[in-house]
Amino acid sequence: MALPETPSSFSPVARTLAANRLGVPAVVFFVMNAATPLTVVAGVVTTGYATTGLTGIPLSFVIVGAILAVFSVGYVAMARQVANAGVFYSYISQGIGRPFGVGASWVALLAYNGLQVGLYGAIASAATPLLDQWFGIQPAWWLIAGVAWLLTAVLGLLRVDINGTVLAVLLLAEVAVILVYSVADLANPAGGQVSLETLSPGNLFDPGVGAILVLAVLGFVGFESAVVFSEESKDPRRTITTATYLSVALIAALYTFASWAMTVATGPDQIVKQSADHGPELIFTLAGGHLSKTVVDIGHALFVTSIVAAMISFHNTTARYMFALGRERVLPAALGRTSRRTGAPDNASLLQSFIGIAVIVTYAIAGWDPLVQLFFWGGTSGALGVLFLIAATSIAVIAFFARNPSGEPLWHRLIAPVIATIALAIVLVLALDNFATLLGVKPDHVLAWAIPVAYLVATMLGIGWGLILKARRPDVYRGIGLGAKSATVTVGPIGGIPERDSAGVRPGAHR
Amino acid sequence: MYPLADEFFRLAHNDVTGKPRLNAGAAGLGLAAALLGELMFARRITLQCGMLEVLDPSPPQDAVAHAVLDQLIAQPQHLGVRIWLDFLSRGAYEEVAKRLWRAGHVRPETSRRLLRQVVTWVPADVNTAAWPWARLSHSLHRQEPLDQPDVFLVGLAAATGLDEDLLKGGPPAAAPYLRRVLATAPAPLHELLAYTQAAVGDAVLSYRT
Repeated sequence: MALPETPSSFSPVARTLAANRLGVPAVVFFVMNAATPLTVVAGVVTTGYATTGLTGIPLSFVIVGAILAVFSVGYVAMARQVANAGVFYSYISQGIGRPFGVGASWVALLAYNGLQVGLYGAIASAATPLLDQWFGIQPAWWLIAGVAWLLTAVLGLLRVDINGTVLAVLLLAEVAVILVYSVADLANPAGGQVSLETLSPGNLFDPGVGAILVLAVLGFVGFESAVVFSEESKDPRRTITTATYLSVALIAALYTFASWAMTVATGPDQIVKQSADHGPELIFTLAGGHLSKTVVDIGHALFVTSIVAAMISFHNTTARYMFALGRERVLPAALGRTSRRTGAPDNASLLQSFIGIAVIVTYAIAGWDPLVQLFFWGGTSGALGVLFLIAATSIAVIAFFARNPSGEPLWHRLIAPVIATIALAIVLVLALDNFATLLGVKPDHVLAWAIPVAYLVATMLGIGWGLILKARRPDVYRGIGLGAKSATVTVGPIGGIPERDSAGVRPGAHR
Repeated sequence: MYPLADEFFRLAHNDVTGKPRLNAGAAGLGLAAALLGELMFARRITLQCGMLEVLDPSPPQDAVAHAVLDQLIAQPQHLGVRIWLDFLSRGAYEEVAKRLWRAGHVRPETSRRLLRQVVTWVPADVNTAAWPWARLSHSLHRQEPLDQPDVFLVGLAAATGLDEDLLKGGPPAAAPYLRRVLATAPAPLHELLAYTQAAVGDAVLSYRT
């Protein structure tokens, strides 16, 4: 079907719509805003060293960055051809098939929920040093998490995302702090010698490498969102392509540098022990030895804002996900409603908030450790799900272009996607093999297989639901993968425009 | 019978204070769709497969409708309805408010809120302002037939999220009746409503500060 034409530059329509056109820097900013660097560097990396006991984390950022860069070639090319470009399940729907798309969307829901709820486990580690320092109090972790939860829930309902300028300033500040700490680390290497050991390719052959590769994926979550802005960007083709590659490169560079600098300061043989001893405090402790107290305090404060920003951002992303699926009727249609006063997807937001508080309460009552068992397990399980999605999308790209070459060069539609798919498949196999190492549990621990199985079950159930929809509600089936645009091919009984039932052309039937 | 966009404006605001019931994004899109709907009812344009088509370029009586039609005629290279919904939604609120003002139905009141100047369009007559709401919810609750313009208004309410309020206080059978009523809209209007709903949904998904 014909997509709306790109306006020429001489009409009032085009000029008005072009008023907010974004360039590469703006799009990169929006993508990186989802990255919240300090959460990864202070939270994920240190917990990763401690839990997995592996030192090759810096190298894994390089490897995963390279794989995702190759993946992006086919991904961005396909994004130009599909509606609802910002979510992986859309590609899987339109590339492999709608039932798989439904399965993928349920995997995505599990994964993003894991990432979002997991953050409630980290906020206490970040906030406690500050609360202790300023007020001399050390509240229970779930109290801090509860306050953060309340803030997120309210902002989600009011449809208040943090102001873009504020986010940009925070992002720059976080990057600055990370760079300053890292340079200070490099300037004071343990044993007087800067060691490149944790960057050496030899780390690839450590048993358990799959674990740190999944961990690295965690740092890149959100890189795929640049394509969402294609309709709002100056030159969609070039802007989005450049922005995506640039985002991947910057993320890879930053995290590789920071996670390596840490090991230089402690010495590669000591990083695991020091991470286990200090946890997220490690980078602040290292910095405290060489930098002024103010710089460390700023870092602490930014760590808290980083986690809160990530919490809010993921909450809204997941709520919007459920909203889109509600619009498609892949999930209950009530989730696809907006609040008339705020325009926020209020039902979806409430559901997301409910899941969050349920998890906090469960962990509080059961007495489980929030940092490792909520934050790290939630985050890495989510990353595993995202890895599944990326791999499936890579296959979808190949399948899509096999059917519709769309004038893309062979490199875009076949060679790069095939290379990426093979690499991702290898990473996935390693990841599943080493998942217990990633979680830091014994190989026969229930979670080591329960989490991958949960994804498998979600996929199967989703495929089943997709097939049921195909048989019983073909109108809804047609709209799968199209997000909000599914309204133009399908029905929505609650607050939606139902399908026309009198004789004549049905809207969207020509698609 | 008042113009469609005026009636939707009334639906979207409180009938006494004039305060908005609907967020600005959805209101803009609803009003844009209503303006296109006015042209459709005046048989000047139609919609098929996502593309608008000008059937009759002769100017309609109303000034705002005339202006919209002129713009459509002047830009034959952009006929995708989504583009027009997005474009028209930017100025629609002010255009329709001013039309109501010229006809003496509302008057502007400026006030300060959080360091910003806010204009509220206060209705001159509460009964006129409340009439679309009363009329539509009455018919839906009692499952009485609606004429075509009212069916379109109900559809706009559904597309922008106001339908929950229309159904509030009514019997459970009113909700399926609303859906049945919408299913009877002629194809071009039905398609316009579907695209409006998609636009409102997309505004949620691409939201950024």
